[in-house]
Amino acid sequence: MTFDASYIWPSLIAALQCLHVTLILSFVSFCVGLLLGTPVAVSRKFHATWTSYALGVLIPILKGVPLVLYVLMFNFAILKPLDALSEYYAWADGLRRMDKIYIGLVAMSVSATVMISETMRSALSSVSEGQYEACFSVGLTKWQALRRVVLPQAMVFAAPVLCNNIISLIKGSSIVFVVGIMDVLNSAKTSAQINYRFLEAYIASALVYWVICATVGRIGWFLEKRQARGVAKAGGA
Amino acid sequence: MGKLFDPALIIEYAPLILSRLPVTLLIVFWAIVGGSVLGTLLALARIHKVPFLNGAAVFFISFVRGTPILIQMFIVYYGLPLLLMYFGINITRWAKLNFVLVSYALNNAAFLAEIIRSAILSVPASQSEAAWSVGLSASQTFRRIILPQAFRTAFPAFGARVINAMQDTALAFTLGILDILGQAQAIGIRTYHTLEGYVVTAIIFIVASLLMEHTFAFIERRRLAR
Amino acid sequence: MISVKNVHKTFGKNEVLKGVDIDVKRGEVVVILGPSGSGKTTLLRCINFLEKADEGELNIGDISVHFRHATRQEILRVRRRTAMVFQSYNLFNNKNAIENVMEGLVTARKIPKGEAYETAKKELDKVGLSDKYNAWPSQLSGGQQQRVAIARAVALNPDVILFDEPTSALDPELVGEVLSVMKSVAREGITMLVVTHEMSFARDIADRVIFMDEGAIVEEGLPRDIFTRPKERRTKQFLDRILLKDEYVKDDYAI
Repeated sequence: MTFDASYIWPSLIAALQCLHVTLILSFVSFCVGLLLGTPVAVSRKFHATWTSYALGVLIPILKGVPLVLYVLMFNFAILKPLDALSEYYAWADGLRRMDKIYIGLVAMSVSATVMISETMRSALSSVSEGQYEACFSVGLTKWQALRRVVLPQAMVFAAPVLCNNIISLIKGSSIVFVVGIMDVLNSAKTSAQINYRFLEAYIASALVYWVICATVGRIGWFLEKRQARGVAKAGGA
Repeated sequence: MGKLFDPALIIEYAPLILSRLPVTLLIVFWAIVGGSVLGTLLALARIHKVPFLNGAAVFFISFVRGTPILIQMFIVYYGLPLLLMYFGINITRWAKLNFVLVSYALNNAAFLAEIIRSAILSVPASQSEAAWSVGLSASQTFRRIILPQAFRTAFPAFGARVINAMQDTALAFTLGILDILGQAQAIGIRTYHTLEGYVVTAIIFIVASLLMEHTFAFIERRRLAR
Repeated sequence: MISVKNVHKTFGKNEVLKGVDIDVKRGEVVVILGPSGSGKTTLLRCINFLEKADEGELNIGDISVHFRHATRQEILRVRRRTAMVFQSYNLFNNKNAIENVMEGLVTARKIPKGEAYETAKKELDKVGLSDKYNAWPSQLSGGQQQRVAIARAVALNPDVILFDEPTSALDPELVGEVLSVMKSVAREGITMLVVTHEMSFARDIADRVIFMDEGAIVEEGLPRDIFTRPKERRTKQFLDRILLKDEYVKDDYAI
């Protein structure tokens, strides 16, 4: 086996043709994660209701499951019942042939929700108790305090960490080839099947991930610097 | 076809899958040990701005952090034999597991390098000055004053990395490694009961993650408080 | 105006408040003195429901609530009739000076933004921060932050303002500016309940001084009487200890 850099190019083109799949998988699941993860974090931090206790047990458990297992399990749990039903119902047969990206999205959204709820929880904890007390002292309700003072401050703290979460999701999305979704990695790999230039294909797909992740990482670095500057000023006062 | 999900099979498969746990733990162990050694070297190269090595370290760390470990694993699998062939070393007959160990160690080296670097930099310069003022040498200062304090700072991130590394081992089956997930897949192919095996694997990962998390938190409270 | 009766509060096994009664009249400035751990800060925090007292009653204007059984609505009503100035200022970090003052007016009191803006401007002018409307908390000195916090409290036009050691976190050279703002607030006739170690403020401004120790009121009276002729031995010991540090007060009273 040899290495020939000229084979990287066709694989790179193949990879880029499926770039949108990787981006949809990671950014949609990120948005779902932010939308669901934030209320989860708020609930765990503030409400002493049975839901918050249940979430307090559930989230650490769900956190222990690797993304690939979510993908494999959802793939199985969604498709197998449809297989059985499709013998009797036409709609199930149609559903069975759906684009597998939906399965990837479900799996990744669950994983993203768990991850981002933890990010938001530590971000909420970073806001000092004094901020709540000041809110209450001027007569804000808990909800008003959260919406107008605590969450805006928590978001500043969370922003760079959320960028890391996006990077994790982008990289993690590469595992969806196990259920046959055509993303960046899978497309590059498939393109190599005619000539067995797998090393070149992997390098080509790596370059694509590297560029996206480095860009997001750069944004996160910028946000962190801005946040550090704010903290330094507050500390100096 | 039979039942979609048979809870009884969970009990039946558990011992089979658990028997592959040592493979998973072996990967974690070498990933962290190898990663720590190489990571410290990378961190030192970066802190002291060693010519060439600093640039190489930045490049390597950025690549590892910017690409999926899945791809890194395959690049090592296909690329390392080619690379070593240039130096006249033939590893084409290596077991697949060895490639996994190398790639996971390299991957963790990059992450640990950043953890170690920022921990060392977080120790204030006044600590070194105080050490020099009582007559410690540069290396004594590093070993006796800086490193212990840096370790304390790095510990929570280090713990999180170990848990991360363990979850990453779930990808090794894609190279054909018979770890816990690989075993679950194998059972699935043999018996058409895949989900039960996945559930067992998930439970093992959950228990291991929780155990590690609580152990690290315990150590942090006990040994590192103060 | 505002009165609390029989306030009890226990943290774990530690009984911090052992049945405290305080009655503050409209426009009165009451200073609570006492060694650290005497429960004076806890008392203030209980009045604002930042701590939940185990026992006792609170009357403020026409509102009457029991500390332990207060509903969320009642707590909110009490908080909207009171304001608090904290030891560590607690300005909203995500809002600039004028927004800090406006927040309670707009969000809690539902006052239109334009009107709230005018009020906030007026209050910031009064504390001498006309040039800092748009400054962020991180750009202000401790003394300036505390003055914004006082403006924030006064703007709400509350029945009473609770001051919790407002100068304790300040560098010594910044204490004066905050004290003088507090004095002018007092002169406006605003009801104040102040926990402080600043003897000069207690002596010059307070209408009444309360001395607390070990979770109970030991003695209360006019500042002149408390400072020159304390009746209780514990009061005298405390004052001797504090006043030794405060040379100028010691000279004044020659205790």
